[in-house]
Amino acid sequence: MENTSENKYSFKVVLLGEGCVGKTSLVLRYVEDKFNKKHITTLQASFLTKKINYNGNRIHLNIWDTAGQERFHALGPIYYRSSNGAILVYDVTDEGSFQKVKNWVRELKMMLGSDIVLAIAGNKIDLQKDIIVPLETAESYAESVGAKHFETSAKNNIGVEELFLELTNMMIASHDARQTENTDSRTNSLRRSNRLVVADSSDMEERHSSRCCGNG
Amino acid sequence: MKMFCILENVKNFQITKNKYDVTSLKHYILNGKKPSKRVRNENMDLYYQYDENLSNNEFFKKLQTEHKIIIDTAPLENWIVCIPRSNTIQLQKENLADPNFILAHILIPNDELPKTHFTNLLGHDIHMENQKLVNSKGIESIVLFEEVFYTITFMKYKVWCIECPLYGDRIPKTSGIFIVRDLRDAIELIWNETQSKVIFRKIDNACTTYTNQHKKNEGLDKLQTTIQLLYGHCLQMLMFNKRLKEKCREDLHFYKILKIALETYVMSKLYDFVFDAICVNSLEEGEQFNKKVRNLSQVHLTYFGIDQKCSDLVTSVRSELLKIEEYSTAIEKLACLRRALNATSRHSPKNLCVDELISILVFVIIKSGLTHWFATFKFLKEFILNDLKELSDKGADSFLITTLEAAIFYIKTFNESKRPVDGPIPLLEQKRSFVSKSDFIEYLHSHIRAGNEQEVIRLITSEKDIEIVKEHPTSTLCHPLCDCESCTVIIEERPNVNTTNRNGITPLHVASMNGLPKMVNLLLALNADTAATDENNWTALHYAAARGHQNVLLLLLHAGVEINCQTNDKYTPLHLSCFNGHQGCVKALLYHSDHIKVNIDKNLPNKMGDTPLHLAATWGFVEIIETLLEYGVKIDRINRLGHTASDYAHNSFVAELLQNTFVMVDDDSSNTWADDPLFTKKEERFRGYIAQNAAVGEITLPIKTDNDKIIAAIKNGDRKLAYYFLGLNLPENDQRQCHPLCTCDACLESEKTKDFNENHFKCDETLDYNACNSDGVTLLHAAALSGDMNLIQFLLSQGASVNAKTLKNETVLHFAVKSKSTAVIELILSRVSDETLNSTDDDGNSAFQLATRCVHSVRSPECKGSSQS
Repeated sequence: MENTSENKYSFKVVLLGEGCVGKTSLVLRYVEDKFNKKHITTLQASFLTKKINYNGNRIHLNIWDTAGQERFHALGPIYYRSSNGAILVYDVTDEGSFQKVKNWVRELKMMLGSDIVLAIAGNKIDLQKDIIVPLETAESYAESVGAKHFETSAKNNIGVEELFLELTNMMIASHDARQTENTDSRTNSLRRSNRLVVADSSDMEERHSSRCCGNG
Repeated sequence: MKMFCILENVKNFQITKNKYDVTSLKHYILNGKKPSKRVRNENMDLYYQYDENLSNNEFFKKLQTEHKIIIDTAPLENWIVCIPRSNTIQLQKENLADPNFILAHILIPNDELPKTHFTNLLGHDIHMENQKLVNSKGIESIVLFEEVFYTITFMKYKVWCIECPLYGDRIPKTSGIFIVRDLRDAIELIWNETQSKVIFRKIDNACTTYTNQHKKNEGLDKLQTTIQLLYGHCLQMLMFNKRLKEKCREDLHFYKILKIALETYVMSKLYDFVFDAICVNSLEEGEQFNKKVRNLSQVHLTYFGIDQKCSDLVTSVRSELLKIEEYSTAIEKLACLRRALNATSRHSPKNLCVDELISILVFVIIKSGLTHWFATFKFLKEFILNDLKELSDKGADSFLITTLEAAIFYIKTFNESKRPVDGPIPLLEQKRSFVSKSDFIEYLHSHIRAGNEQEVIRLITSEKDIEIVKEHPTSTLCHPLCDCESCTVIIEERPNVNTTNRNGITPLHVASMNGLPKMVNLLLALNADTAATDENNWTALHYAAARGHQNVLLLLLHAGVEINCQTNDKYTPLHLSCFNGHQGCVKALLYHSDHIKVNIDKNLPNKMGDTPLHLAATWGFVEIIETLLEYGVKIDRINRLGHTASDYAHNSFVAELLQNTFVMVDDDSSNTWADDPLFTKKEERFRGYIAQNAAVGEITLPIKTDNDKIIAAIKNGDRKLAYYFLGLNLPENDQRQCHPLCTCDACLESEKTKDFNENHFKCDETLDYNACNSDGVTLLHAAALSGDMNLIQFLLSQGASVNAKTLKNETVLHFAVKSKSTAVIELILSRVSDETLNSTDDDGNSAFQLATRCVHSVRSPECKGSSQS
């Protein structure tokens, strides 16, 4: 496992969904392995970061909660612009929240096109008796819009890890695809990354000057 | 006031004159500026400032190559691998050979307290305290960040990057890791590393040169790029220091922090310049935003869906956020914002979601009384550069800025019409009996708000039909809804048009604050008392002025309300209009006083000694300031704190506006227009023009200052004001003649309405419809340009000349063509003489030529046809 090269990704992931579907719980479970929202600050509840290292790739996830209420609807684009992925959360015991997800998907597709990777999460599957939204419906819908569907329970820690890992994988794939698209004509992407390594370890001055001042 | 002191102190501190030792720098910051409170959980700051690629860390490499078994076991046993940050490892490389050194850094979580208590593989206890790992020897090491490693089989283990090794005799210096939290940190870091005053002087000089060379109105993009260049230049100067350069080469994190320190220092030097440049470049946006803020200032907590219980929380957020304009660096501003939002978690039983966060932020911004929110936001959005930007883009800062943006955007796009009426929606069925007087009033008010004229008339005028249970504080009813004889007593005192509620609000107040001209008209006809005041001594006129209801304001003025009446806080209606940015009302008030010859005192101080000009200057309402100056307000008045309006100028544009006028007013102490030197100049120009035209045999144009205003109003598209000046009814108000009141027998004869209409008619006759302004533009010109058919027809019927020309020789037809309205062009064509039809303006274009030029956008076959004929 030779991974001296810096494969660093920084992704912005937005959480969309109605008020009480458990958006925050889901992230909190993943990032802090907590379910209860006590003992964290307000900012931590709405903005969380997680660094993961997977297959020699360093991935920095910035997970943003967003405004969900109807009167703040116009603020949506301010939050989700330039995000790499979106997790659309609905409550499996609440049909309305699933309809909301559909609206969000439509809006995201319209505003960001295929630049954004979508994951749909049916949360609260621990409440087995009350499930209203059938799994098949949700899954076939997800497929029809090119999203991936997950069943989760933040409370019992079911499916949360899978959700984020899979989403990360999809974001990496989407990011790399775009990267090769951009650099295809110029140079082999592998060569490029090699060159970066050389610059990185030998002369930090050069690497930084190119990024910061831009004037040399 | 406080802000000015601070700004003054910062300005007074001239770093070039001081000795460059840390204590004096500290002294400056401590005395020149309020010492910024250190943030409690410092580790959070570190958390996102430090980053390294652990794969390149010597310690981790050693683990992977020689102790693979540990890495393989960690996911199974939930071990946590601690990795000292790469620089501390490089300093003590010999330690890596010691297996105990490695084992000391592998933590096994305690069974009972897995989050805070650990044992390492050597069996020593380690516990976590406020994000610091502390071992039994007392070595402390901050956990810089956590990274979760996944194996190929999707097993995971946690890796903590820590500040310094947990094992070893040498306890490393704690100052090993640098952070920049505020300007003080930045200055200290640069000073400690360079020990040279020369570098500070050089940077200061570069900044001064920059501010002298660049203009504020250059545009923000250009400022941004030139500041980048300046920063690059300063960085180069800093890097002349060989030792420093070497250190940066060794420690990338240090290099990054040093650059942030430099940027912070440079930006603090440029702050006044940049901040004002932002204000000047976004004058209009800032003004609009402030107007929104001012007009929402009376809203209640619950209006934004914030729980009443959260009022403590709002107070604490507010007290933190109020400092944001005092800080001169982005880092401190962001920290302030972060503290403010985190203050919510102290008071709230549960954590707030983004919706609530935005609501609270919106509410606090509105209630803060700060005047530069828009510029603050722009500063954070556009003027965080380089490494700081890279850093903040990734971290929570980006989220903070976005949330601020969301709040600003929400206020900016807030639709006044969405604002719910401040009271319950009226019931559909007619209510005949009321349990108390307040019940009756509430019902009456709800119908006034809804504009149900007939119901209001019924409630106020009909003698019978309405039963109100008399309130007997002493005697009790049989049961709350009892209507037996002893309980039901029809109130002797009939409710009338001036009946007030507990807060002294009369029906006229309600109609005025909700901007309902028809209702105001009705109430005036019913002899409502226009001078009635509520508990704060606000008349209906105050409410109309404060909320910007120009039409209501004019109606009330005509009904003879005292124009200078003051509230308990000594606000006049003019104050309130200026305070809330209602330019239309300011103009209406000033014009009315001129027109009806009622003396309006434009310079009255309020409780704080502020004149209307003070208020407009503070909030940066440029057009209002211009209007006030035009009407000759005194600009040298000082308020109770000893400041003139220009001391409070929102930005340098406003300041210049005020300073330039200062000279003019000083020269000429009288306020009347005729004595104004500028005016006489204008007059001369007029006379010259008239003489010139008289020779051609054109009509002479008498001078009328009133027409200037009317023309300006038409030009600005302010129909209401223009119609008012002309004594016309707005087309949509035409039904006033046939509203229920007039068909109703009882009210048809109402003197009030008659008087009002007669008053209107009188205004008409004082006007000369052929008067022009200084450019030779007549009323008809302006009306033709606005494309307002009603107005044009009215003017023509009053004998306005279609053949009038402006100073540029443009005819009315020219203007009509510019309006691109076929109907207007037709109308003018039907009246115009042949000579005028073919006359050309100063640019040599006839109306027809002008029309053909814009023919792609307008279809005007008639125009062409008749022109050819």
